[in-house]
Amino acid sequence: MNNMIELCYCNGSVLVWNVEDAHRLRSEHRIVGNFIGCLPSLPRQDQMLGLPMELMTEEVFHLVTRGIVKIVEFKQLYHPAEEQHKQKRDDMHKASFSDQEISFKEERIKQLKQMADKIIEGKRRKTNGIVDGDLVLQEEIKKIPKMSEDLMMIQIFTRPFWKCQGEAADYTINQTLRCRVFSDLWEKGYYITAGEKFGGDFLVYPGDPFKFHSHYIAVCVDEHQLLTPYFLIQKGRLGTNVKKTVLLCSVNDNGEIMYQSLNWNGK
Amino acid sequence: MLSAKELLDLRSRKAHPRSLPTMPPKDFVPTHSAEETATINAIVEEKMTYLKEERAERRNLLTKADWLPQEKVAKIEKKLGGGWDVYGFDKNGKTYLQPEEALFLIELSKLELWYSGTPVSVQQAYQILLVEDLCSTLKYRVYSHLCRQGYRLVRRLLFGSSAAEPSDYDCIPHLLASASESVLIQFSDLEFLPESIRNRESTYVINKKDFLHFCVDREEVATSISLASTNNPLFSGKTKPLLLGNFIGDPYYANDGLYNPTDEELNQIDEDDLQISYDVYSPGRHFRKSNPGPPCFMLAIAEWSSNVPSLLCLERFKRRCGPKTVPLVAVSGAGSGVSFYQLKGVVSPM
Repeated sequence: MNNMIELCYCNGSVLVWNVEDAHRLRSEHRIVGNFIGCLPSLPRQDQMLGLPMELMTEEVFHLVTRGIVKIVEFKQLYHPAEEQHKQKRDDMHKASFSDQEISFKEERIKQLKQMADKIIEGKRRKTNGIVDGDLVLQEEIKKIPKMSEDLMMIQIFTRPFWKCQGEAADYTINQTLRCRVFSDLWEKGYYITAGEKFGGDFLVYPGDPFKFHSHYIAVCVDEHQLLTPYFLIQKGRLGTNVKKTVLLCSVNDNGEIMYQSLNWNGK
Repeated sequence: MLSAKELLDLRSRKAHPRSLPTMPPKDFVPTHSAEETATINAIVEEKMTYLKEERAERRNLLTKADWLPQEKVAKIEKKLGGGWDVYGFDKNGKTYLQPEEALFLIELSKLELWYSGTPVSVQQAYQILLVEDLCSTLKYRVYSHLCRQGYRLVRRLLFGSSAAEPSDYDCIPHLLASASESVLIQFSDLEFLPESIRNRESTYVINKKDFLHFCVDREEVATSISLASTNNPLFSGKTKPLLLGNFIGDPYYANDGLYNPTDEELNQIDEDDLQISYDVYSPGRHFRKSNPGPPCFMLAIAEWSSNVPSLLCLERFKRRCGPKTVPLVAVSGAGSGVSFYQLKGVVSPM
């Protein structure tokens, strides 16, 4: 399956470094993930973060079991770059500088041409005679200084510029109750994100979280867990306060996922 | 890989970056209409254009640093661009960066990190800098979250010197210098006391151990403090303060407080203890690397899946923080962003 998306295993996290893949995961597979890097154009704000996108364990489990992704590790990136890559980088750097010098000059020429009339007029007044417009322009163009090295724009690559091959990562996830509940809710057509900030396991949305509020706070409970009144009140109150329904999720003896919603009637 | 034209466009855009996309108000129930789907796709597409942008910076604003894998720090060759009075730590005339600091500066397009003769990509930086024993992904999530908002985070070394500097405790030297375990203070001339407390006790017993909870290396504190070295103005008058901070008078520590751990309990070092990872200083121009002063917060970082710390653990944490600093715990996990909590003692009105 060559169309499998590659997820990058890195220091205990599973990350997506490719925007196209992040887009595909969201549009084709309803997997939202969580961006954790600074946004390149606006790094000092928290409203919108950028690559890499980190995935929850349950999201990874879901994608792996359905054969949508494979988890790879780029072991070579722990070590310094190979000589050929270093050389390539130096060559690219030099080439970029000459290209930028050329672009810089072209830009200046364009500016001069726009101001051509004024320049020619100025020369005419000085010499008080006939002036060859083209010659004047050529002289000005010759005067354009070379772009200073200081002004060169250097790119900080998000991903290595050479095509890195990843090896299959030694990363296994055990199926937990949370994984099962995640996949079941996903089967039902929901979008699911992390729920810890709301005191639960997942937040469950009827549509893309960009456009819709979540309806449920999913709380996974072991089938044989004794639910104390204290627990029920805690979760019930939580739901009411944030206007969401708390969904207690568990697996019964037949292996089916059971859902129980909590409706708080008290004041 | 950006072309020259794209790079130069980026340079001119940097002065006026486009603002974030405005999000339409959220709805509650989807209609699944074609119009709705189109709106959602448009939002997603727009967000993707921001995510696709690459980083680039002018050569004279981009600082180079070399990653030193043995020392686990990045060494700066030459500082370019502004702001270097707040980043990094200085040693022998050179500036060094901790791994999380280096990564954050790369993400800000302020730093180009070189590893053995060639610059690293952001992906490679995440891989080599966020290794568990250097700075985990969990720690970095919290670190970058606070730094983006302008806070300065300074690594707290275990058994380190960051906060409990002798100058904070200028008033205690004469107590610590004595060999005995406690000091008896008797006011012979009550006129020296402020009027509000003149009709209180004239004799006080101060226990040495009450001042030493926050420093691990007791010998170090006792010998390095000298009364002569203090320049605290409170010492220049006739009345000298006995104690700094709110250890006495803080109801949480009063003898009739709700929670009073024993000395053995407080002096234990538990595995479960909240390790203080960073000293956090508030955003603003007042921060100076050379003399940061007491931090606003001392930050411990935990995972969502970890247990709630015991009261004893929190008590130890609080005492380690000292009087001017608030103990703060940050919690994070894959997928969930960062949340914070702190526990404060309050006086019951009863």
